Amino acid sequence: MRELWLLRLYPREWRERYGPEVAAMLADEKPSLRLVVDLLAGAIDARLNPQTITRGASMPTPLFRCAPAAATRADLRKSNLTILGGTLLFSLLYIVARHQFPAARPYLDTLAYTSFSVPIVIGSYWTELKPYPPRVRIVLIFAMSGVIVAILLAAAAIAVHL
Amino acid sequence: MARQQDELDDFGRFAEPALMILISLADGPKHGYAMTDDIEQVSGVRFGPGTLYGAITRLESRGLIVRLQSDDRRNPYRLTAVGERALRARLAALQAVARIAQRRLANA
Repeated sequence: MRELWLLRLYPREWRERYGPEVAAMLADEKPSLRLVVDLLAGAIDARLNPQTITRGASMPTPLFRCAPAAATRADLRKSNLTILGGTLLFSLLYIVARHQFPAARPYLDTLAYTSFSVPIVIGSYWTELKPYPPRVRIVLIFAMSGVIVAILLAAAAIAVHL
Repeated sequence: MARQQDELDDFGRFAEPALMILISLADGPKHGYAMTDDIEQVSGVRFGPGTLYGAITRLESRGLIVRLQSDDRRNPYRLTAVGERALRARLAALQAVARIAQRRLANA
C-alpha cells in the first residue's frame, strides 16, 4: 500500500474513475521496484495520452479530438474519404441533373443541399455508428439519409406552392 | 501478405496487454485483479496496475470493453460486441502468421 501515493501523480479525472480499483489492486500486490516503475510509467502515459470514455464519462476530452472514441485512424480516413468523395459525386450529379432537367430545379436543388449532409451520414458508418453491427449501421444510414432528403423535398414543395 | 488494420493497431506498447485483456474477458466479466491473475495463468506474464489500466482506459475509450456497475471498489469489465469482433480479427491475423511461420520452419 506504500505505492498509493503514486496515484496522486495521475490526472484527477483518471483517479476519480480508476483510483479506487487500482488502490484495491495495490492492496493485494507485493511492494516492489517494478511496481513503482510501472505506476510511474502509467502516470506519465495517463498525462500524455488522456483517453475519452464514452459511457459514464468523467475523463478529460483531449484538445482537437472530435472523432468518436471507438474510431481508429483507419476508420477516420475511410470516413473522411467518404465525405469528400460523396460530396464531389453529389455535386457533380447536381450539375448534370440541373443541366438535363432545368424545369425540375426546385427539387433538384435539394440534391445540392444533400451533397454534404448525406455523405456525412454515410461517413458515420466508421465513426459514430461503429458500435452497432454492420446491418444496423446500413439501416440507420438509409433512414437518416431518407429523413434528410424528405425534409428537403418537403421544403422545396412548400416553396413551390407558396 | 499485408495484415488488415484492426482496432488494436494504434495501442502502441499497450497492444499486447490490451489483447490479453480481451482474451481474459472472452469467458465473462472480470475486475482488474482477476484479469491480472487470469492473464498470468494464460500467458505467464503479470502486468502491473499501470500497464493494465493504461490498456483498460484505451479499450474502454474505444468501446471494446465496458465497465459494469458494482457495489465493490472493484468494478468488473465486460467485452462488447466491438471488442469481440476486434479480438476475433486479431486472433485470425495471429493464426495466419503462425501458419506461415510453421510452414517455413517445416521447410527449413
